[in-house]
Amino acid sequence: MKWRIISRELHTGPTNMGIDEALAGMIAAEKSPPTLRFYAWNPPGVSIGYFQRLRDCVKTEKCNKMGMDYVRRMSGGGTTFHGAELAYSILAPGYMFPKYAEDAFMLLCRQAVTALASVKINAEYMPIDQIVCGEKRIGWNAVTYRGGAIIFQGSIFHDLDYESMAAATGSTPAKIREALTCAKELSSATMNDIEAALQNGFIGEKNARNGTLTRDELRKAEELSEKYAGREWNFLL
Amino acid sequence: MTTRKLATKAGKTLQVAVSLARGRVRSVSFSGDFYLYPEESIRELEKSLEGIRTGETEYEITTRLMIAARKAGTDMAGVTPHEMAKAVKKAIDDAEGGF
Repeated sequence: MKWRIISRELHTGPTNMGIDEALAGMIAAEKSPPTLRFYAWNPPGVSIGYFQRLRDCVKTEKCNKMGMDYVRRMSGGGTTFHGAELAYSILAPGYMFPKYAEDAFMLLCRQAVTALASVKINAEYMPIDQIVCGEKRIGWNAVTYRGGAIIFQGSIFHDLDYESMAAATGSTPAKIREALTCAKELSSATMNDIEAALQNGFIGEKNARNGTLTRDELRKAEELSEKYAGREWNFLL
Repeated sequence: MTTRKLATKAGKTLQVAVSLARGRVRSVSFSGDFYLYPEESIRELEKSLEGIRTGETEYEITTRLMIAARKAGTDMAGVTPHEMAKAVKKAIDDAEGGF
């Protein structure tokens, strides 16, 4: 099956979540091809895992003041910041990947680690869902399965705005510095270098072409983005 | 409503909120940064504990969660039914005054 690769695009947080859900549905219905897409959030924002409570994890009033999005994801996992990062989603029929989340993490995070090594970033996979450099995370990953499709979401931080992250999550810049690092602190690799490396790491020799979202996919994504922008979804827990 | 937080063996955080009435569990709600899918099926796990006696053991609660997970086709990562049961049992004990 031919993979589609979508180069880095900028969307709002709710639209990015809407795109992933729309593609997962259309891939499960065999209307869209397996897709690796790269993206970032504009404006920056915070996402929380499906089972997290927004009130516990995000300072929503501060985010509103700073013009940042906050969104509850369709995937589990933890809270993460979306700023100067290279985010990626792998959306494909479930049968193309391991059936269980732990196995999917192991496969895909290891591919990302190999990709990072090619741009001189020495990272390691730390089960179940982390990619670390030393003891600090350099990105985030989450996975879920929906209607026969796998949705693997993640990112590599390129640069980190410690102050905004702290304000948005009620932490301190020092605590975040202890836990996270970014490509800019470790290597001279540009966002484009990392995108090329990850594309190679995830897709490798598989049959692939560059592409964009279709009109039908965009229409469905826009519909779904309203859910991800709404209070009912984000404050459900 | 009594809440209990637990760090799972996989390094995730599990939080449970329980409310009790007349010696039985009225409601249970799980939250945290674990993975469980299909995500909506967490309601089936929560519902499987509604109405149970507060005196049930951790083992009995684990069994209920495992059966509910099997019926709903639930898989999880970063948390186990036993850890969920452990958190529920501790929250029940806290709500009843702790012992």
